[in-house]
Amino acid sequence: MSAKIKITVNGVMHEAEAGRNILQILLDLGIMLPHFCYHEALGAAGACRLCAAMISPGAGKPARLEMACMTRAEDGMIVDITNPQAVDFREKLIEELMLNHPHDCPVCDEGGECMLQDMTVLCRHQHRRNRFPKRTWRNQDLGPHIHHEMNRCITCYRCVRFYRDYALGDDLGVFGSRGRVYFGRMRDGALVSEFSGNLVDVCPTGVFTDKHFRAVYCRPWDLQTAPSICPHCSVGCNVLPGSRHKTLRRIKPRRNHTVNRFFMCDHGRFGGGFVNADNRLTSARFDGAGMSLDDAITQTAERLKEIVQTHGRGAVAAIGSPGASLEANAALILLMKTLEGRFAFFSTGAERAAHKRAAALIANGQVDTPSLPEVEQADFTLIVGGDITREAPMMDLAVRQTIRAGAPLFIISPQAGKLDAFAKAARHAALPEQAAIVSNIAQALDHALMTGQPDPFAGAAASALATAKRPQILCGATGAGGIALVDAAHSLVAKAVRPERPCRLVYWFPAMNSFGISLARNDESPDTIKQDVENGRIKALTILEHGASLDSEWPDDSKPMKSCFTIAVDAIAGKAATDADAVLPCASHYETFGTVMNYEGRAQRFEGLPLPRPVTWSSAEVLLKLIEALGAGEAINRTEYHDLFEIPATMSSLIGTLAPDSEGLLIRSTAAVREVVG
Amino acid sequence: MICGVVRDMLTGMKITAGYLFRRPITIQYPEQKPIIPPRWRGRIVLTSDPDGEDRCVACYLCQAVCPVQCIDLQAENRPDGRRGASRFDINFARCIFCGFCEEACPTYSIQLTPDFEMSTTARTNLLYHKEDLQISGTGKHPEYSYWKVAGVAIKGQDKGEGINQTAPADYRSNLP
Repeated sequence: MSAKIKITVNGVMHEAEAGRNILQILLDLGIMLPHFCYHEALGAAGACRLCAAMISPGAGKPARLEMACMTRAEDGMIVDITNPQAVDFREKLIEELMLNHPHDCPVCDEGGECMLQDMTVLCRHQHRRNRFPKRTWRNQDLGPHIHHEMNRCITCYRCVRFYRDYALGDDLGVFGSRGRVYFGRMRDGALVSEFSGNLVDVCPTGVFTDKHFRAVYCRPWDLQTAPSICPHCSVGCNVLPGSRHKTLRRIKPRRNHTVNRFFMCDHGRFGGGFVNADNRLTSARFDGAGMSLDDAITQTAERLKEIVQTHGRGAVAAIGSPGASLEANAALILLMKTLEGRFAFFSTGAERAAHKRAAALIANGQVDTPSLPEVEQADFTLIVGGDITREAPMMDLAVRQTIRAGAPLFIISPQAGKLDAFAKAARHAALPEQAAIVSNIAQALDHALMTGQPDPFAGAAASALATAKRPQILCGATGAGGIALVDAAHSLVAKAVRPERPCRLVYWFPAMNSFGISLARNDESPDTIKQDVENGRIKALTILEHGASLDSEWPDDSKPMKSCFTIAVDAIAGKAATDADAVLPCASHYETFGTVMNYEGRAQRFEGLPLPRPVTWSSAEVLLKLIEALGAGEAINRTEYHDLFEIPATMSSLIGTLAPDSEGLLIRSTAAVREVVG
Repeated sequence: MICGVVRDMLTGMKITAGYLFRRPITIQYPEQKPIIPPRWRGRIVLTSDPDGEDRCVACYLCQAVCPVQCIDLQAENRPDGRRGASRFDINFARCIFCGFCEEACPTYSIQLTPDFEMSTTARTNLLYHKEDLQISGTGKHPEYSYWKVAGVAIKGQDKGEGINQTAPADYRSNLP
């Protein structure tokens, strides 16, 4: 806790944290002082001059009109935001900002959540006195996601401060001078940054708007929203999808100060198309005949019973999904327990081993896994095992904050990536070779003070690691690098850790709930299940929510699957559902509720949008109905999370009571978590 | 006391009798049509621009302000750069003719007219769609054209060609 100071605002004494600017303190106190350019993540710029207030350094000292965002709060300061001089200044200023602002609010997509509208009303500017012509601008085509309408700009510089300074992009800039300041690209073209969608949020008015939302536009106040979690990677960004007229319209970041805070990546923001997709499964099918979901569940249960009776235990199997919630995977495991069947997750045994090892290290507390805001604080970063920009974009954005602070970055990746440009050194090597390079760094760390290293990359990384105060290593546990890479990263961290200096380690995973399914008890290696499907030992296979992504390593639609009765529980008519004998459609991610665990092992609850579709059951509910149809319904209420997953019993009940707007729950076990590596 | 009662009765009868010899105010509706003031709040219409295009830009303000939520619409972006309503429904079974929608409309598109003869035998007939609401004229504001002042480029009117606008600025130039 930092020191407290006393500050008087509008005649009332408040206690506030020292070292912050006055605007921050006022906003935290819930006192609305008009402002534009200040943004909690981007900081103060003093560009808009709107947050003017009468500020006196202390009692008896003369007060002056000053910008609250540019004034550091000191003990005893007296702030008056209602002073007529300040009020008049702000009113005049907003009138000037509005001189060239067009009369297009009715067709502006920002309307309803426009900061300029709010501030104009707040400053009581109502009547435009200026009768001179308005300046206009030509817009640019900024690609498929962002619509540009430069007339609306009030030159607060938030866009370039985010795009260039915060996200380190270089294809959006500011041009011109005085009354002709233009924000755009050198020439028309798509914005290349992975974080360009945040321009929509940071722009206080409608210069940058969401093209997808705009295509089928509605006002934000008409959107029905539900707190959700982005399904696209293991970072688990908190999002707020909005729907209207039975379709998903847009996705916005939702604040969680331990995860994504203000922003989200374009993949998550513009990647909600699967909800409205044409290939959504809407009707159930059994043996080629369409029927109601209830009938299909009953018939599937009958068939499964027959198979178990004929072929005995182990004849049915299931494949879970890292893209489905903990509850859906739990229901799948429970189904297999009911049928004495077998189940696997992941696509290969090697991937499973790597995932399980990484998840066990995190859950056991053997590694210190930072949250995203903590990743931003590091002063040394080593990235190994994949392209973080594509596999966990928001972690890339967090790493960019360390680069801004001057921290060295070292990258070992399979191919050139976007972060290479900021790295002190980047080494490109195939995933299997990366473990050796990490071990080299660990070896070099032992001889950090020696000169003449055989591997200059390892030497440079080791010497930077040795001198760093808050180092971190980000390792992709995708499985292609195998368990060797997971272990190599762990032993490097173990070597780098010193009592006075922690060394943090992130294992990022390929999918939303990879961590969750890695904690599953008694799952088999997918390799053995695959083999048994091929040699006909498995007579029925249930595939959960694999959409279009069922791994190509699974037997294709030729001979083996033919002898096996396949059941697809899915929202999307992908490969798995097209080939399946029984298709049980379920609601998609944004329409359901559940729990997922991100790369830190942070369990987060998400809720579903009320989209009235033919299918409204989640995959978990469909599977539970199937269990009930098998006559094992009473097992459902008896089962807790810790019966199926390596979760401490105390946390199991906490997961059940998680609120979607909470920070989430870090899954850590004090008792040793059993590590099953097959 | 009785005198008072009789006096009051006689006063009332005198007033009634007086009306016997005046012209009646009631008219023989529907054979005889009443004269309705022009600002009467009756059947809602969607008017057109002076150039004949839709005035409605689907800003959703009427829908937002409507106290009984009888308006439902969906915006669309047209190829000519304009925005309009792809669907515009008013449920007159719910409408209370308060006129808030007309007040909120930034483009003078939605207007209330003196027509009140909308009675029907089926409630579903009171759901008016866009084609039922549209009229070909400009209604109460014959001159006004929103797109002329919006500052948005549309077909036939480039940036800066609207009313009281300068030609697009050139940020590459250093000249005053």
